[in-house]
Parts: sequence; structure tokens; C-alpha cells
Amino acid sequence: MNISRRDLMRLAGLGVFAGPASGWMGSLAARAAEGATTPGQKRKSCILLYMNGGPSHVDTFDIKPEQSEFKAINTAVPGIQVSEHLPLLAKQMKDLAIIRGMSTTEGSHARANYMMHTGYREGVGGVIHPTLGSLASATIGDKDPELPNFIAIDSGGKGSGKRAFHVSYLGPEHSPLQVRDASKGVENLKPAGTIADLDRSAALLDEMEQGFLTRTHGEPVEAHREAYKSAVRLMKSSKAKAFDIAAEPESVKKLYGDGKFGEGCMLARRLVETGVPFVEVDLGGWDTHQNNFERVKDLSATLDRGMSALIQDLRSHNLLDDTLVVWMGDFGRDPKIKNSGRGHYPRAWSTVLAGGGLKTGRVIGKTDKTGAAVEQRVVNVKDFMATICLALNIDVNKEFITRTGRPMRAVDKGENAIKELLA
Amino acid sequence: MRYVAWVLVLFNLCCLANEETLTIGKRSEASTATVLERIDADIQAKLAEATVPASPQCSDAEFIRRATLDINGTLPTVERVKAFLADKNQHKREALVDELVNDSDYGDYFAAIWFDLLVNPNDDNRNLISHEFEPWLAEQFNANKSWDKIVTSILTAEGKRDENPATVFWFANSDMNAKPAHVKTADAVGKITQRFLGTQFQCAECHDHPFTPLKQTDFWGTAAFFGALSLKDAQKKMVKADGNPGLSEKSDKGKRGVIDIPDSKNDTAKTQYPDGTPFDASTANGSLRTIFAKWCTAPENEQFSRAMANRMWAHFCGRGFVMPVDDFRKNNKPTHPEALDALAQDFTASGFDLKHLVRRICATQAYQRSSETLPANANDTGLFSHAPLKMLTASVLESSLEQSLGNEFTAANARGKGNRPNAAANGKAKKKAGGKKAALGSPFEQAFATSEEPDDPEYSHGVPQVLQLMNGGHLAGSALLKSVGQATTAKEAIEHLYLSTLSRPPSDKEATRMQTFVDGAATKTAGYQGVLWALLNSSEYVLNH
Repeated sequence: MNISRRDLMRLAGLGVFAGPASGWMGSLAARAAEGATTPGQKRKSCILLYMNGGPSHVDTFDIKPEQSEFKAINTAVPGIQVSEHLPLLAKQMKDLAIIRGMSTTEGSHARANYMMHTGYREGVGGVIHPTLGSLASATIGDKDPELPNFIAIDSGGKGSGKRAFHVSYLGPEHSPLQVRDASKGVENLKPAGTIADLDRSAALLDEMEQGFLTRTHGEPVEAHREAYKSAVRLMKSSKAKAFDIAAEPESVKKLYGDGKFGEGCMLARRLVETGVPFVEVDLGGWDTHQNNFERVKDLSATLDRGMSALIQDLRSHNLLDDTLVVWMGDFGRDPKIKNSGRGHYPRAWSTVLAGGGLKTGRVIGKTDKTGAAVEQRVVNVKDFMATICLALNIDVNKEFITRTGRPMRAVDKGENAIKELLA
Repeated sequence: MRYVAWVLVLFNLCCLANEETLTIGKRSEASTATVLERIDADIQAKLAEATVPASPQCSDAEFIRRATLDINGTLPTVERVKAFLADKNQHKREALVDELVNDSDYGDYFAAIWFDLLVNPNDDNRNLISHEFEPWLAEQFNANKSWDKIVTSILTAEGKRDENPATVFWFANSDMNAKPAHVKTADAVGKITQRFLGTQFQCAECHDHPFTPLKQTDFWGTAAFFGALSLKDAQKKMVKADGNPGLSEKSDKGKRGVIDIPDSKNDTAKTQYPDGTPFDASTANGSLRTIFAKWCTAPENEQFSRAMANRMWAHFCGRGFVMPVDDFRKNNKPTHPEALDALAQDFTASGFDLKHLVRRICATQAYQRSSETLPANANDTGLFSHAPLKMLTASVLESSLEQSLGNEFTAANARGKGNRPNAAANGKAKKKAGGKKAALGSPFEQAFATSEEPDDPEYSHGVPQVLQLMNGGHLAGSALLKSVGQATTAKEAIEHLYLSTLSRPPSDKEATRMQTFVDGAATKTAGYQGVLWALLNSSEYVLNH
């Protein structure tokens, strides 16, 4: 695209792209045509499971029985062990790749959250960097999609919903649809009156917006319009029934369990199945400065059930090869216990990648005896991001132009993707 | 640091003296003209440097809407708009600002803002905090207590929470789950330096700051002023049973002014002010917090007034001279140092008078510019060439909708005088709701408050919020819709709808367009409802411009 987004909006404001009487909102009465599938390379999707607070690695995927109250158990892959409280995931090990050499530099929640979601340190380049979901929407997402390209689901737990969701220079159309409660889905999808009435008013609104945009040229106005466009597309779409998790068969509901995280994972599968390229589900509560073992045990049970169900379910729907599941948090936790808890620990920790056509069933990297330092294959946030991007066919070198005219790469330079994982 | 600041001020004054286009009044007097001129001159100079033109002054209609939203957090009434537009008084804008700061909505609004800035409900403090802190803040703001006195009251607060709501700041930074329940000194220090001094100390809690010469010992040196606090009746069990926790500062003779640095090999830090000056606590008498508060709020500590001046400027003009507003540091210089100095010095000279600060800012040319852009300034975001578009926060949008519709939007909020839910009622409603809901207020606020960060500049109305605005069903049966039904002519009705929502009359073109729309509707009511729907869903309505 040679024309800048700014110019586009200016032209739109002058009425250059003025469509028929029903304008940019379109006629609600006219139902959307069924989305056509693009021929050629199958588009990959991503489900990001974000563990707010920073999960302890030595008590979960890099189990160190001498540092932990938990025992190690074998998994479906000989030689790989995990915590005894992740038995279901242990059975799925063939579809998982554990990265034990994560080593990052941010030890504060907000900064780590930002960095893990954007691949950049906060403040670099004087810009705000877009979150991974928005990046995916802007690169592998659909133009004018019926359901937003990026959907974020809160699933409870301390810190749940707290994320650095910045869209920044990618544009407001790539902001996430936030679902507070998977069981409630998206509310207010039906107009209060008749569709015909809403259509008439919508046309009126369209005219008002044109005028205001011409006069003020502000990004919030563009963002407002985009939100309305998205909302209307959603109202018109038959795909919106993907939000109705009650429609799942009982056997599937049982598989995921009836907790918020399980419901969130179930909704994620439905959305990916419908064609949404990026869904983020969060599970908070991992900031275990006190009562580490009690809390990690509980969270592990929740995680184990939800994530294993997701992988199994994706497989049975033939979606696993094209869906990358990412498990990550802010950072790991201190292998030394203090006051019944563990402090923040970015120096050495673990993440997990599953599905997505990756060469799974293995461990990448290793930490020392206590899980305090990475001995083999250090993976920093750039490497990790690059791996995810390559798995999703996002060009790591792609440059976006920020508002100040500065180019910003999808992934920061100097990245070293984990090529062993990629087919 | 202080020396450098003064040198900068003198340097800038000399530069200004050479500007041919400016006439500066007697520099030795801190007269109104001088301060405003200094601020606007600095802004004008930067615009000229960048060859960016300034938009003209905003219209009266723009002004009353913007100022009412910015100062009272709600929309002006139809009567007030009509009166203001018809007023021929030359100084009516000044008079309006005066009226707005003396309305109790002012205190309520800024109390809500500062409550969110100072209190983050979480699992560690949920039962310890009380929303009585918000009406306490409102009282201070409405009585126009000076900022130094307010901050001192907060910093030195002690006693039982229900008797002294200012202690809630400390309870908000405490952990009721720990055994024993205690103040999280690091959290409190982070908040104090961030909110009252505009500096981000938090990184240095655990390690030397990566970007500025701030060491871990600097952080803990400041924390050492707050190391002697103890809580009573603050265990989770106790406060859950409707307890009344207490806070006191105990003076531990042996370890006075010395604090242990956590996660270190028995390292300790001695009291030291945030600017690096050490303080010998062993010989000093009295509460260390009081000593710190005195230093913090002293006129000599320029950072105290600069932080507030910057934050207040950002509130009104969309961005501070330093951004983020609480990230003053060596490699983050103000965009308009002279303007910031002028505003901050004036604030100090006024005795840290907050209403005075508001009046000053609202009197600048910069604040009063239109949000309508010129082709050559449409892309400007940092030079104040035009007024910015500002998002309405969830609670302000709710207030505005209530005002516009003349209707309770949620049953939970009681109404006091004026259009803002009054803080006391707000506090009670929040307390009653309990748990996580208490933090987020009404269901409307919960649905709209997507951003956890009070200073978040990004547009936060996503699809779920838009769906609620579009399909929420709050229009039908509203008092507004009912009242326009009684208008004699459609023209009257349409004008009333515009005044109730956009706080301005429609242009002739708009009036004609709306007339056509109403004429083409199935019924007059359906027509008015359609117009109202379009108005309430427009950018012009949901934004402050």
C-alpha cells in the first residue's frame, strides 16, 4: 500500500469513498454472504494461553523435585518429565514442545507483560508496540472480517484481564474484542427496535460521522468508526453463534470442565474453528509470593484440564496442525523458597508451544540443577516471538510505519528463531 | 538538580526577551498576564519552529462542553448552555470556569480520578480499603485545601481507617493475607514517587534502574522513611467481619531510619531523599513520614509542583509537557520547558492552590483552541496546535448519558445535587456492591472500563461497548424522549435533542437534514428516537473535543 492510512482517512472524510445511501455501516437488513475460503496456503491460527503473574517453572514444566514439594512424573515421551500435577498434559506430551531455556530481562509484571506480548522492551523507539494478537490480525487476519481477527477472553484468577493490549500504529481495526465471560459470550447483539429502524438511524449516523471526521482528523474518531463497523459486521454475521458455548455437546463440556479457564479454552476452539486467526485466553493467579505450593497445585489442576482438553479437542476437529497453541507468562519464579513463596524470576524459565505443525514431543534447552540458570540454548523474547511468527507465517522482517514515520519491524532485529521446532 | 532548573529558567527568559513578536510584562511581577504569556509564548515558539499553524479559538459551545467535562466530569445542562451562548459578557469564559470549580461536582470528579490513581484494589488489600477515601478526597478538593496539605495528610495518615479515611492510601498498599498483615513499603514508595513526584522509582526496587543513574539503594533510602509502620486488626479474617483496621507509625529507637533491603545479603539502606540527599534519622525527632512530607511538599522541591502542573496540564490539554506524566527523568525532557516552569512556579507561588491551577490552564490560548484541524496541523500531536480529542472515561460517559437522557442509567447510583453521582453516595454504592464490583462501580462502568490504567490515552471503546451503546435499549422510555414529544414543533424538538447531547444547537444544514429524517419516520416518536440514537452514538458525543 503506497497510500498512508492518514491519507486514506482524509480521502474518506472528503467523501471520496462514499458508498451507497447505507454508507460504511452497511445495511443490517442485508445479511452477510457466507465468507469465502481463500484458496492456496491454509491460514494458521494461534491460541495464546497467558499465565498472568508468572508461573513457577520448577513446579510445573521444568520440575525440580529437590526445589519443589511436587514430584516428577513421566510423560508420553520417554525422558521428559513434568510436575505430578499436570498428568493430563503429560499424556499429551507428543504434541507439546517445552522451552526450558527462556531467559528474559523484565522482572516487573507490567513491563514483563508488555515485553512478552510485543517482543519489545517498553520505551524502545519511543513508540508503543502492538500486542501479538493485533500483529496477527494485521498480517494474517482477514480484511473486514465478520468476527474480529483478535479475540481476548478473561477467565478469572488474580490479575486476570490485566494485559498490555496496545494496537498502536497498526490501526484500531486490529484491536481485540474482549470477552469478559466465555459463558456469556457477546451481549447486546440484537438491536433494541426493528432492524429497519436501526438501518435508518445508522445511515444518519454515517453522515454525522463524515462531517466530524473531516473537521477533526483524530485517531479516536477513526477508532470509533472501526469499532462500529466491527460491531455491525458482528451483528450481521451468522458466525456469531460461535460465541455460544452452551451449544457444545455434553461430552465436550465435560472434557473441559466447568471452570472459567476451561470454558475460555472451549470458546477459543470454537472461534478458531470458525476462522478467527488469534484468540487469547488468560489464567491469572500465578504470582505466588505466598503459599506457593498450595496455589500452584490448584492452578496446575485448572491448567492441566483446560489446556489438555484444548489440545485433544483441536486434534479431534483436525485443527491442531494449523493451530499454534502458545503457553507463556510474565516470567518464571525463584527456585529458592522465601516465606512460603517464590519471587519473580526472568533469568531462567519455561514456555510451551503446541500444535501448529511444529516438531513437538521434545524439550528445547535446559536449566541447571536448581532451575536457576540456563545451561543450554538460551531463548530470549525476540527468539521466542520469531518462532511464533514463523510458525504462523508472519514475516518477522515486515516493517510498519509508526505515526512519526519511523519503521518498526514485526520482530526486533537480532532474533534467532528455534528452527529445530519448525518443520 | 535545582541549580540546573534555575539556570534553565533564566536561559529561557533570556531567549524570550529576543522574540520580536512578544511583549512580556514586568518579569519581576508574577502577574496573570506574564504567566499566561510565558506559557502560550513557549507553545507558539515551538509551533513557529515547526511551521505548524495553530487552529483558531474554539466556539462558545465547544468551550462550555469541554470545560464542563474537564472540570466537572459531566455535560452542561440545556439551560446552562443556552444562557452561556446568549451571554454577552466579555469575561464569560473566565466566569464559567469559576462557576465550575466552585461546583461540588469538581471535587467529586477529581476525587474519583485520584482515588483510581492512588488505590488499586487487588487480592491483598480488598477488605482493607474503603471507598470512604473518595468522599474524603472530594471534601479536600471542594474546600480547596492546598495540594501540599492534602499530600501531607495522606503521607502522614494514621489511626483507624473509618475515622481517618486518608489511611486508605496505606491500606491499599498493604497485604492482609500476610502473617502478620503489613504495609508493602515498596509498593507505597512506588506510588508516592510516581503520583506525587512524577518519577518512576519502581524499577529500582529490585535492581539498578536501566536508563537513569538510579540505584537500588536510592529506592530503599526513600523507603526507609516508611519502614516503621504497623497495622492493627488488618488480618483478612478480621476485616472481612466488618472490622476497622488501624495504622500507626512506631518509632523503633534502635533501627530508626534504617530498612532492610529484601532479597539481599542483609543489605540495609538509610534514609535518603529521592533526590539523593541523605538524611540522618538517628538525631531527628518525630515521625519520619512527617519529615519526608515536609521535604516533599516544600516549595524548594520543584519536582512536587512540576509533577502536579504537568499532570493537570495533561488532564486538560490531552498530553503533558512530559510524557508519560509521571516519568520525569534525565532522558525524558519536557517538550515545552518554559511553559512547564511558568505553570509550576505559579502553582508554587499560589501556595499550591489547585483551583488556581485549573483557572490558569483554562485561561491559556492553548487550552481554548478549537479541535478542528487545519490541513497543516492535522498531524500534530505534541505541539498543542489544536485541542485534542479526548476519550471520556467510563464513569464520565455514564454521567453524560444520564444527564442527556434525564434518566438513571443504573439503579445503583444515587443522585446528589448536580449531575455527577455524588462521591458519598458513590462510595456507599461501591461498598455495598462488594468484591471486585466495588472497584468497578456500576455494571455500565464495568462494561466500559476496559483499561486498567487511569492514564491510558488509547481509545478503549471496543465492540462490546459499542454494542451496548447501540443496542442497550436505554433510549426508549427515557425522560428526554418523553419531553421532546411535548415540543410544539419538530424544529424545537430537534434543537432540544442537540442541546441535550452535543451541547450545541444544530447548524441550519443539520436542522434541515434531521427534519427530513423525522418527517420520513413512521411516527414522530420513532423519528426523534432515531435522531437521538444517531446523536448518542456519534464520535462527537462520546469524545471530549
